[in-house]
Amino acid sequence: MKHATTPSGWRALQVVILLLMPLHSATAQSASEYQVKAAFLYNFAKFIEWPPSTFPDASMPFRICIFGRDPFGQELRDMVNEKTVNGRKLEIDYMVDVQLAKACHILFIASSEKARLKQILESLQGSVALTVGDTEGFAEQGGMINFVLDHDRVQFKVNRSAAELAGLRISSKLLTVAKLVIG
Amino acid sequence: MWLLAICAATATAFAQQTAKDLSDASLEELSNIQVYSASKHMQSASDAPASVTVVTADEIQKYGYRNLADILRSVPGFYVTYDRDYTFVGVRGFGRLGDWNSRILVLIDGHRINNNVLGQAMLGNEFLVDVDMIERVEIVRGPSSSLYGANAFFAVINVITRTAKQVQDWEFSFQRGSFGTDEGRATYGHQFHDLGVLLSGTFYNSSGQTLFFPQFDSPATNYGITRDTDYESYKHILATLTFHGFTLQGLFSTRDKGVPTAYFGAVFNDPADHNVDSHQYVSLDYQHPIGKWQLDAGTSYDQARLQGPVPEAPSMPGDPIVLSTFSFRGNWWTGDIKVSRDLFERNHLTLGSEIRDNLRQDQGDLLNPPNAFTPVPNSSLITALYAQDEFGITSRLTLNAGFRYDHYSTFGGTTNPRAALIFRAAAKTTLKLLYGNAFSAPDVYEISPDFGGFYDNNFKLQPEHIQSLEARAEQGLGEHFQLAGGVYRNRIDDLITLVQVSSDENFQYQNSGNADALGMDVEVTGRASNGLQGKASFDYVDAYSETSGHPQLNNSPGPMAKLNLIVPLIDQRLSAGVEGQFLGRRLTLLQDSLSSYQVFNVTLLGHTIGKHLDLAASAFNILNKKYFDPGRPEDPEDAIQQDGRSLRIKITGRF
Repeated sequence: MKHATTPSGWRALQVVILLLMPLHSATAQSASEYQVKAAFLYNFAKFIEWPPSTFPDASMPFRICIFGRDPFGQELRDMVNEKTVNGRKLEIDYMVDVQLAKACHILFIASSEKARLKQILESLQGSVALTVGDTEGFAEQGGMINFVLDHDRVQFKVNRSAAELAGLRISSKLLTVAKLVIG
Repeated sequence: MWLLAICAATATAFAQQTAKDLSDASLEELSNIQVYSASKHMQSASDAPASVTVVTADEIQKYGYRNLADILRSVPGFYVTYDRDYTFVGVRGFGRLGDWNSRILVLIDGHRINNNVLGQAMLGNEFLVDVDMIERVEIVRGPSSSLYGANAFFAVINVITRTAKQVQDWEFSFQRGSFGTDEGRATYGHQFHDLGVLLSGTFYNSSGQTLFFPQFDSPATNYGITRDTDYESYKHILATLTFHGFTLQGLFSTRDKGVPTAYFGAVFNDPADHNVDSHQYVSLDYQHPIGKWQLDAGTSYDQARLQGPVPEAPSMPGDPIVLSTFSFRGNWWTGDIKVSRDLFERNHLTLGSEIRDNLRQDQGDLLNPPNAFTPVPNSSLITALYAQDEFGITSRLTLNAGFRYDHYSTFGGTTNPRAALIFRAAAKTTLKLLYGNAFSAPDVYEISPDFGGFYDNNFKLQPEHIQSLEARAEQGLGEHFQLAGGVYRNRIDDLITLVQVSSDENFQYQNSGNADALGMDVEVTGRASNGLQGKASFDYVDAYSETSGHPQLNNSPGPMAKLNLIVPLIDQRLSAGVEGQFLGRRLTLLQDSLSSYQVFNVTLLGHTIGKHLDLAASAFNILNKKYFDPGRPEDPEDAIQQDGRSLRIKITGRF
């Protein structure tokens, strides 16, 4: 049986592909839960204002820290790779010590720390870290942003008074997308 | 003619996201993305108590995969054998010729599709779903009977199909390839507020090749040349409805393949020698939280048929040709329920139960074709209970342990445990120690073979067992790479083997074989932010039978190597997918050694040309390497030559 396409047909096809007008689009895919949460963390960095004293100089990186057992893995590192927020590079750090965690800008507290959550949040009083978590009752216990899953979609609740106490200003863009705003 | 279609670009803007471009998604878009759950509980691959590989829809398009077997060829530990009828898979050195893929469990959206007569999982073009409807495939290597029961012996393969939201209205696809091959697909998907509707239909036709078999090179059998016997056609229909926590899915699949090898003693070069396989199912699933528990319940009904007329070559010239049949008919109903919750800090418990009623497991009557069936004397009922607990002993060390008890009305009960210790030594380092048991239940054709008068029944057949111990390490290297490797030991007991019974010189399936495998695998995966990604893996397995002399198993390649690379040529718009697979030497049934081979495939994919179209061109076995797979017991050929270079063009439109 002859082949369906000839070698010259091949070359014609390649020419056609290369001549076509380029456009920005790609195939739709679903994403994993933590890919979406990683994208949200990047967005929190963009849509929240930290007190001016937090960044004494322009070269200081923006630190996103994971406290406890890391559920993100490579997904978060891929998300922030070579990106900047307000001209600052993004850095991912993994923390186990609360005192050192105070120097973070976004602090994601993993579900492994659920039992100690209240103590961790109390020790963080006075720091400018935005506390983010996805355990049940995170916002009610004083956490600032609480991821929840609703019908397989990642949503989040905002505890506005907790954020204001730390001196953080949350953009109204973020508040309108939030599932719930308390405080 | 389709060149004109490509050049006619239309103007509607149409933005969609890749997982890589999530950082460009707006807040609203992020809140609307439907997230999938990995395996049976939400966890990243590093946390899974097994060795997991995920192949995404993006890779399926960029590497030009045609069916599930093409996908499995790229996975470490797997190798594929094609006999010009079905595609069979071997895992970690075990691919015994004559088996029916019953030692791997294949699921579609969690629904088991191994049929209940041969235990066969369909993998090649006979797979039940169009590869373009696949969202991703999760391949879990290692015994998983502690969660899934029978057939989860070497691996569990879960094929997750695309949802209505992912399809976004209409999609059309057309392919043309070598050997007179045409394929077409139409898909419709839409999310209406709470109701998701997805409907897809595919048809495929191929004239096949004119083939030469040296064993038949004589004047009486057309000098070994067989024409118009390698044909293939199939149709699939997939429908999925989602409404709140409910998912209703229906699937219809039928495939007709001509068999050119003249198996089972058939007449050579006769197009009447063919297989018609069909499988249909309906399944209803419900997921919802109840208090702190997550509930997942479902029920389904399956029907699988094979009609395979075989024109038997007459033993004496001048005798009439007898038409016998290799066929079966199976119906089964399944109900399952699973609940899971976080019990206390760092502890997640899963409990489940499954019941399966084999309403019908009939084999075709060899002597009275084509519509007579021999009903199996005992139709069977299977009930099962399982439990799994994931326990965080410390913030770095997790123990994942579980077991499942299956009760079969045929052979009684079997309990299969599994335990895994997962240690996150550092932010980028994970160590795993995995132990598991699994079983493979005796299939109907082994209990009561229907191959004629020289086969005895064996109602005392017990399941086969495997015990597996594996140590794995996964290490992130720098920003872009990950290195993973493992060593494992498999011990298989009570292998169901066809033996000759001394008392009456007949054949009977008995639990009478043992096999051992000691192996290692290592894999490097990498991904750069510009879209360059790839993986390379190397496997080595020593698999042998425990009888005296430790003979090597047939169809077991020692070393295997694979390479996959996606090179973005023009941003996201044009990419090249390159694949290479190397397979070591294998023994055939006659103990001949088939030489090792390497095959390369290349696909060029032009993405969203004119806003709506994708265009792909693929070359399979681009170097036209001549290579063979071993023949099966029913084939007169000891080695069967595989395809040389073949080409394919595919155009897809999204509206």
